[in-house]
Amino acid sequence: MSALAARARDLLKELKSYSSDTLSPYNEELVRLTFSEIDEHNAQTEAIVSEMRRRQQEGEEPQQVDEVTATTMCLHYECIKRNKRLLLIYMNERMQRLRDMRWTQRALPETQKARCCQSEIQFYNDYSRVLSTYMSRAEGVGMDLTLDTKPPKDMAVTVRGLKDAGEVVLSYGRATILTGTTISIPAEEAEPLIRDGTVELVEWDDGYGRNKQ
Amino acid sequence: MTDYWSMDAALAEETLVPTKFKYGALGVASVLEPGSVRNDVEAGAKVEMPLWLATQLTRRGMTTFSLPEIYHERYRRKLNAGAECINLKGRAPYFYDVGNKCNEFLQDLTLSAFLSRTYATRYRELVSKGLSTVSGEAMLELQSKLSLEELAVFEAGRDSVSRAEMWSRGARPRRAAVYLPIRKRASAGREEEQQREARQRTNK
Repeated sequence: MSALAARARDLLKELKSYSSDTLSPYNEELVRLTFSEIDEHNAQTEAIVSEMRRRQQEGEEPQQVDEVTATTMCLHYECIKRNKRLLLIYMNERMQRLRDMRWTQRALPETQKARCCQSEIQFYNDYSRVLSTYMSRAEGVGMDLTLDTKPPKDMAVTVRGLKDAGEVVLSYGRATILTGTTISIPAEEAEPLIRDGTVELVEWDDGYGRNKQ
Repeated sequence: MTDYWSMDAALAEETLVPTKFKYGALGVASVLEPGSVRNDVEAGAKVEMPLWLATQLTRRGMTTFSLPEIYHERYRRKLNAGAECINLKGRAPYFYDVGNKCNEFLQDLTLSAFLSRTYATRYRELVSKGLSTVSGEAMLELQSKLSLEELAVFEAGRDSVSRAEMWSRGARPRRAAVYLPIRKRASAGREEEQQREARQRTNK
């Protein structure tokens, strides 16, 4: 018999050592070993039960289960339950992180994708499709909900160019972004430009000590 | 069970506690007592087992367990003398969780008083040192001492301080990369200087 749920514990520790917005590589080896540990506990419990059945069939008095056997069975049972719980936590935590990635980064980064197992990638694709359908114009609300966690106060934002990006195509036409130029563009189109460092958001005072943003 | 899905709660229960078997168990000695030559655990044997197993077996009246060493008299005296100096992260990363969980079974009133007193002392230190701006080195030293529960409080505190600062400057918390009004602060400083100069001139 292997140590008390130690492998499942190592799984969780491994996942915890990664920061909460990255995944640890899916440790198939340890998950498989945890399953075999559960099987082992199950086999030992069954061995105890069949031993008792055999004695009963041999015509012995149907005896009370003695305390030592009961303790052993409970021990196996608790180990199975513990392993199950740790595995569930492992899967749930990874699922949660995948979901967060869809909301904050919009796509699954290649480095993280390499760490997923097949069914996790499947889950991510399904989740992504459901969310896109909900946000689409045809079937859902027709807004990109992942852009802002709080409702924006204005449709347009003022941004300042940080490097010469040249001409960019925006929904209302073309705009030239050069270092230092300040333009007003729709908030949802500004977001990707801010993220890749082409422009910065200009926080300007509206005269009441608060930024308009 | 409310914390079934919590990773920290699950890991806290991995702490080993000294447990005494009432009746013994068959065929598990090699796991519970590494290095044991026998196959079975005897009645009355003392072994170290994780808290999750100890609580479940004790609930059924099959074992009894006592407190881990960190809650013993020797450490209690140390912690009472100077709670803020003890490094909990190395010795007992889940100091409060484990203590409370043990207390559900042991019902030791002195333990709960001891836990809350320790937390009160350490909390004062955490707030006074950690939330004011201190050097990175002092901060690291403080962080390396905190237990994981305290670390969560500490990080929440720092987060709220930075949010309050941002609010007082009148900005909405956006993505961190977006927020860098360095130029504005410089110009604000210049304005202040100009005002001071103007005031001095009028005083003359």
